[in-house]
Amino acid sequence: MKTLFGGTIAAAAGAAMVCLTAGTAAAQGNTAQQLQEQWKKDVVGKTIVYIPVSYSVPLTRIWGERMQMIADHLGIKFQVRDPNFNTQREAQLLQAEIGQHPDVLIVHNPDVQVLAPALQQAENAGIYVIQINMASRYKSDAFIGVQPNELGAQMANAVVKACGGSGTSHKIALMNGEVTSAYSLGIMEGATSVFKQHSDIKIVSNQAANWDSKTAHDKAATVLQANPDLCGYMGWWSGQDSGIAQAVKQAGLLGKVKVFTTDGGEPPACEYLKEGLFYEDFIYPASLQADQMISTAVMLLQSKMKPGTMHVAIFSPVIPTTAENVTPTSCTELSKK
Amino acid sequence: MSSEVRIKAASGGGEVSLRARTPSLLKRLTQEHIVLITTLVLAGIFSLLIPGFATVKNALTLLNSIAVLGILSLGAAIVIIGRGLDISQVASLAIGAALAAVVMRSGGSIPWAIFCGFAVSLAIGLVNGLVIAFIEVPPLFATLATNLLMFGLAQIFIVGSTLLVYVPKSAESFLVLGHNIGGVPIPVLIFLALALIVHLFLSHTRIGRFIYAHGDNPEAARLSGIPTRPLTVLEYSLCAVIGYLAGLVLMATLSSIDTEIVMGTEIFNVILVAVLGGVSLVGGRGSVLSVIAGGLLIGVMLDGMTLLNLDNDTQNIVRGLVLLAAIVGDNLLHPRDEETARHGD
Repeated sequence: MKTLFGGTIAAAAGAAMVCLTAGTAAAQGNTAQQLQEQWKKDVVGKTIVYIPVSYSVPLTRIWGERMQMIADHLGIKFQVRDPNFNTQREAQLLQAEIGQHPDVLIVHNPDVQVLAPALQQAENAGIYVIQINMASRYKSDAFIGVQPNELGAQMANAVVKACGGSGTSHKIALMNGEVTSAYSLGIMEGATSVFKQHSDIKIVSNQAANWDSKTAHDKAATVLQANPDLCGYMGWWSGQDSGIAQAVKQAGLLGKVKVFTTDGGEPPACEYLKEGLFYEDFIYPASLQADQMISTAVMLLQSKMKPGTMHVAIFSPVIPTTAENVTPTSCTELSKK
Repeated sequence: MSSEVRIKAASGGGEVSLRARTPSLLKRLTQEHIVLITTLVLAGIFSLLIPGFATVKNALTLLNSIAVLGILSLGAAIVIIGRGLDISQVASLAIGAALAAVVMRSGGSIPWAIFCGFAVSLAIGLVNGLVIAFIEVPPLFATLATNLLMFGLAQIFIVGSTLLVYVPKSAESFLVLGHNIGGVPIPVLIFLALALIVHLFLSHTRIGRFIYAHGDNPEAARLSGIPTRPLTVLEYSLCAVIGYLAGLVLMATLSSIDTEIVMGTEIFNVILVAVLGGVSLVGGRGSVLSVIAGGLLIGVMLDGMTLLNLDNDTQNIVRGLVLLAAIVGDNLLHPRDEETARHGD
């Protein structure tokens, strides 16, 4: 009797377990199904338009190619509009896109001012707006990118570490990009705050090369000729700073003058690190940023919030990379097309 | 003319000659002399202000920084002297060099890579020359169009996704072009050698004199039997090929070539160097000395202001003022009159 009772309880419990498991599975299946349906309704077939300042530089290419690849897999329509460094053209393209009404706009600002009104207009028209790497003064749904002032401070600290000790000249030089861009201003602000605390560091030159490697080369050659005992040269884009590295090499100062730079993990930079042309590259991985961009777009699409109501920031990690820790994945290879 | 007549009428001949000689001495100064003097004055000021400025090493650094610009301006000068204008010269530079780099990257030999780049640059020059000489499209529009056309074609068929092409490490023997021989940068030697060749070509060969005649008065040149159409094709071809040489030097210096330069403002610097030194945009005037004078002025300004560590805005103000001073000085010494105003019409 006792056994029978026990057996009945065990059977009942077993049956209950089976039913419970089946029920949970059914509920889970239901949730997964719901999510899938939500995904199909909110994400699949939606349109993302990406407007970089130019689609011809490695950084914006890495972003675009990676987003395109993910979007193709997810069934999202992904389109690129290329203003080719023409600010006015970029503003026109943005206006035209607002008329076309895509679901998400991913915009790379040329400066803090020029696209701000149009970005607000786009959100008012019901389009989610994600700004990347260079923010405008308008706070849109999301910002993904580096914090220039933090990056500047991080780089300056590395320069101080390399050139502040004994046995160095303590002399450094800076090569600005476009002085009025939000990115340059932020980096200068961050770097200056660090250098101010280290009075032993002597900035012998602070020039701008407007992102041009030839200008950077010529100015660096002049500075190196006047200061052959220079310890460090800090610039803020590897494409431009490759000119500094070549000037250092041609002056026979390779290994003596340390070149510090930063980029999104663009292909030639890693070669330069391995060859000792760059001493340290502060890499904010562009492919990771691209993943964050598309994920944010997908999240916004499913949030069902009115565009302009959410303001999120996703700041990019910065990985100090030298010849010692550079790996094959530190830089992103571009497609050959 | 009229004032001279009045002086003659009013007084004796001796006074006239005294009065006429003073301005003539100044007037004998050509634009390149004025630019060279401005450059020397500026170099003197910089030497006083900057301890390391007046050194051989710095002079070589300075020359190295203007070598590419100088080479480009030599090519531009040939076209401008022949009363033309080549906006697409930087396209010849960048596309030719980029093709050479792409061939090197894909494992082609260095001579073959250099030849491929040469061929595409020559093709750009030929297209320009033919369109301008035979279809008679104004040079400004023709070369503006070819500039865009060639840039687009090159992006699709040569360069690919990004504008930046790096010279592979295996092409070390090509990169030697950017190095030094006995402390003298090779780009400077190439610039000086090319300047000598272009000078001899323009002033000591029949074709060189024809180019001046063509620029001075195309109609008269044609009527006197000069084959002006083939001459035009030659001018633009030379300009493109010299542009390509500048591209090779630039690429060797930076170990890469950024084709974005085509869409930039480099061509205005090239024309500025030539015109500043006295190559007249209306044709027929100027020489290699003009290019050297213009280039030196730009180089001294760049070098001195970098050493003085002036900020960007101050540099722009100084550059603007010096250029304005050189142009105003020339205008004061050579006022526009009926002849110069009509010159080139």
